Amino acid sequence: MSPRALLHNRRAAVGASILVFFALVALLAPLIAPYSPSNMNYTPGLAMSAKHLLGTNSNGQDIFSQLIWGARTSLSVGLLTGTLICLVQLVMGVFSGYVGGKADTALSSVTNVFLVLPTLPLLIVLSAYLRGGSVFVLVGVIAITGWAWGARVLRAQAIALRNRPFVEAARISGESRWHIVLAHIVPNMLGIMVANFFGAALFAVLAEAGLEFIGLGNPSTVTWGTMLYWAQNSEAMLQGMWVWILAPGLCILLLGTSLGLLNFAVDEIANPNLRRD
Amino acid sequence: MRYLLRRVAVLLLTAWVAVTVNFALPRLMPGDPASNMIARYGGQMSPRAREAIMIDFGLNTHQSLLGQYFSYLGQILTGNLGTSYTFFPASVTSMIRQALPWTLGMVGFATILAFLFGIGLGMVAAWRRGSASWHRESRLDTALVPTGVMLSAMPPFWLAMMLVYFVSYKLGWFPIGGGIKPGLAKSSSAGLIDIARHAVLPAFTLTLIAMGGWILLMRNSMLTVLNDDFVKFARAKGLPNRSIAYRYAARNAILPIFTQFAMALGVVVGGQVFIEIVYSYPGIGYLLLTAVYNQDYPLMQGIFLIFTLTLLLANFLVEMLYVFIDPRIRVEAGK
Amino acid sequence: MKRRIEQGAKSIKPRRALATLVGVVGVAVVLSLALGVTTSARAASAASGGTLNIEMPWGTIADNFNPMVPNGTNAGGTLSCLYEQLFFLNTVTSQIVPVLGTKSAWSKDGLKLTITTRSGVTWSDGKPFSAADVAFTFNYIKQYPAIDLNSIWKGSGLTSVAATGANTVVFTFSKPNTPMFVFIAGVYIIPEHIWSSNTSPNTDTNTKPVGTGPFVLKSFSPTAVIYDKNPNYWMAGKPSINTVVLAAVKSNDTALLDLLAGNIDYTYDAITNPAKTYVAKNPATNKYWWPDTNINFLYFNTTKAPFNDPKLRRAIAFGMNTKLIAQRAYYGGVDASNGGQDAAVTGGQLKAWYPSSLKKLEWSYNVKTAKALLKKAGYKLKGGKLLTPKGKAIPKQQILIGGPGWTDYIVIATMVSQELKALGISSSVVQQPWGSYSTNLPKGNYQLAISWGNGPGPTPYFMDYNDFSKSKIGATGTNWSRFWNPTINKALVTYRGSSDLKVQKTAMATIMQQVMTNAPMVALTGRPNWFDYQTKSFTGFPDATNPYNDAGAPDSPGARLLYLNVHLS
Repeated sequence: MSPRALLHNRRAAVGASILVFFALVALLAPLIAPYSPSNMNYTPGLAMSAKHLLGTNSNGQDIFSQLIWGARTSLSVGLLTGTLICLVQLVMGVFSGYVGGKADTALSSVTNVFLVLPTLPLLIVLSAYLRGGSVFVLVGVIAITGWAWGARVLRAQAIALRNRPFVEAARISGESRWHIVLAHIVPNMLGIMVANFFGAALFAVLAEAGLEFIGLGNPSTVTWGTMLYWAQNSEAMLQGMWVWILAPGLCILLLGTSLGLLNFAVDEIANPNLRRD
Repeated sequence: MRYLLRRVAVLLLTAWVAVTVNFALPRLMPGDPASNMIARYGGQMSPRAREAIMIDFGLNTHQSLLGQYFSYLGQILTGNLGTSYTFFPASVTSMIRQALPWTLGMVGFATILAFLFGIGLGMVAAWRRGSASWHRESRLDTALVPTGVMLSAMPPFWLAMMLVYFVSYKLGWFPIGGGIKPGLAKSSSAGLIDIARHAVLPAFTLTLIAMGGWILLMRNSMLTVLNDDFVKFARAKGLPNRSIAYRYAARNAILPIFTQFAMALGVVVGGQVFIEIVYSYPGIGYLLLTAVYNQDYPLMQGIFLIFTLTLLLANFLVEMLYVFIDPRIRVEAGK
Repeated sequence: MKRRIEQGAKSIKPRRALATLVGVVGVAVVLSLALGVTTSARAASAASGGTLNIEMPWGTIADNFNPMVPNGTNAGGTLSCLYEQLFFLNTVTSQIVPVLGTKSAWSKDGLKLTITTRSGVTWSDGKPFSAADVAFTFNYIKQYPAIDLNSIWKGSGLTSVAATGANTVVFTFSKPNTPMFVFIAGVYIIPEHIWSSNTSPNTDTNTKPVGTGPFVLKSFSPTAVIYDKNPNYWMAGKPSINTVVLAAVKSNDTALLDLLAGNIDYTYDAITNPAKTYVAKNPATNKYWWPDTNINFLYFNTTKAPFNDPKLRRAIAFGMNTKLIAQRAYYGGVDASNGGQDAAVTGGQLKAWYPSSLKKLEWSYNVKTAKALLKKAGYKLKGGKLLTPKGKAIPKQQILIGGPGWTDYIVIATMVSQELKALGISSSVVQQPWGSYSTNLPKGNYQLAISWGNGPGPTPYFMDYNDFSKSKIGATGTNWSRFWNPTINKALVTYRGSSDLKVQKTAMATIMQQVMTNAPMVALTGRPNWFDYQTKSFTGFPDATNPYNDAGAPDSPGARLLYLNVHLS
């Protein structure tokens, strides 16, 4: 899978452009956002204007600034969790599948258990115990609950690759197990791993927003999830403050779609059966 | 037969692990649920009354950890999940029993609907794409893939909020919330109609959310099958397209998807939690949140256990079904 | 999910907390002889019949009709439809409304309380009610301390309760304790012939309830309880409505939308910006009445540095922009507190209990004064950070609030944090679930906290007693600021031992003066009951001009009067 293949895939190109857009917004948040997102000193309920591009919410905060800063949290939660999940999958899936034997039996039975644990309820229960923490607690919790399916897929792939001649050769030449995994196995399943990464990131973005929406995040931080939490709690729709409820929802949807498209496209490129030509 | 026994053994093992995780979780986490409980009881309690309540809640601290573990296992085997803090002195089992039918009904309905629609759309998309090779892109496929992606990226609660406001409140087509109009008997025909009316929007939301994944899965699975030699062979033999599509390809494409049932069910069960809150639906997802908000650990654990066991069982059944459908596994299983 | 679930969302009434405190009265209060049923409603001309639909936005209902467990543990309506108290205290008007008791009198020495009970009352199973049931109820509570949630016996000095006639009950005390009347009045009376054989009163779910109340249980489901009119109710011709439906919904939005759509008549919910989101949609019928019955305070932990310095606390009091806080948290639906309220006197009691001599101790929002006071006390501002008189920087403080879903408290705490920053103190908001929040406050595991005042009653005594007694400091206590001193203690004892209003007023003024000098907590905003109703089908609801109840929740004892007063329009 090459970056060029990605660019030639229309879905990947659309997904990547949206992602890059949000990444830029997140990186440049301090420069783009006109005000502090948590400052409550503006007149509440202002309509859209040059001064407040998207108006203010009923707490007297600038919605545009909140949206910009919210991109930062959502995106970092998504990418961070995606990375974490990939690392767990590397051990629980790739490594386990490659080494086989008792270690594999042990690791894969752990995977099988996590596979049937209901993800979201587990997520809710865990965050109930660990409440009051930062967004990073959420990242950890989401990572713990979201890795199992991908690990199983990767394990199957690793088992298939295990006895290929080039892996055998590496083994005979005395390379260490981790070296073989990282240098020979992983590059051959990079497509699936990258697809998994985007899938995990999508899961994380949605899970974070959901947990915050039901009040299990920290409502004093500014994220798209907490924006929706406040909008919902302040009867934004009955107050006619549509921007407040539509903007963060659409942003989640857009970011989610971009991650989903990338996940899909990478999978498509990596899988010869799905390729067009 | 041996295959079946092995699967049952794995099922039991997984169930045991899940139960143990459930036991360990609250004990590993920070905080002191026991004293929270006592505090909520007014704090005016004599030590004697306090002791009695601690025993009621299974917070008997004199017991060793191992002792607690075994009495926990024993309780679960007898269907005793303890006493709810929030609804004291109601038992966790009784609270779950009240809420579970609502959720099972709606989740079951929505899952089947999402599965059928998703599979159908995914199939057609793949087929069109497969037979549209001369002009490179099928419009349906081009439209369906991003739609599927967007549906699976949709925050369920957000969609639900919009639907409640516009469809229920503004248009007045459906009730704003709840499961049934107070006072109607569930078994009466009027009651059943009312239950259905209340279930339409939540089920619709859930179906929409869950459908995206099925569309994409089925499409990809079908494309893989269409690339298989036997399909190419069937085409070469001149079998009619329709017959290839449905008799060979679709049947073989659905099989691998069944293995992903666990994940799909997880998505639905998760979305359910959010949706029940927005629609004030009296199911188990909302009960879980009530438990979470009130730090009602016994109720939380009980619900989590039920979720886990249900998923486990559903997977097991699907797997069994799979064995029946797919001859290859049957042969393997017979060995 | 805002989710008030149990505590209530943005508004959160402290349901569980109040359960132990509700139902309070003092001797100084004039006993109202009216039954709380308004004359207009009494005129029998009012159309009878109809079903009053109510939604309670705090979740599932338990199949439990035991009046002896904390409010909220039993099904809604247990305490407002089925069971009755001796007297009902209206915390809005400080009036005492007779229910099953008709008269009460203390002996001169304050050691004996005689309560006359109502005659002609029957239990809903047809058996007659008498003073013996009242005596039984109290002795039953003595026998099972687990249900003595209001400390009727524990530490109160109460030694015996006996029925001395068909309509007379005598309460004997070992030491004068006249404020105890309030707690005695609030006990729900249970029938002896049913409960005497019950040996597990705290776990029994009493699914076939027998009470004296205006309604009887018709049906239960986890989402709705339905009550039908009690045909043999003791108040002639009452209630005029046939049925009360108490439905549980999961979110405030559902309740609000149903109220707007006219599907329900009454709910209890702090609507955001009610003028715009609710009343404006149909001003003729959409109404709310939110009378203050408590105060939202900024609590200091007065035993921990830096807030163990009264000078710092008083300076901070000047730095709180209570008007803006009230505006942002409640959109004008609730009043800001002023310097006078800071002495733990709720708005309604100011006139009667607050002496003008304390005016000079009052504070009001003025950052300049706050800074001047800090400077005078030796504090220094360096690079925007406040240094103690010893020159040490004040570390970052935490403001504790409850949650989740307590959006009004999140707003208040965020505003307080902004205002502390203006004085050079940095802070962050920490939200804890109810269980932890309600344990950490009494245990003193906090630096700053936002919470309500404990146990407001018909006179300032009750809140002062709960908030500033030495005996109330501790893991299960109500003195959360941990502030007390011998002067306050002496004044509390004086008040208890006297039934002379003048002596009591002097004692209260002494406490107010102590509190205003030491500022153990700063009153920020009022804390109302959130009564929302619409008048399409029914009239006779309480409001500011006819405050016959406390605007309480549908499952609180005050709602009983609402059910007795409303009728078809």
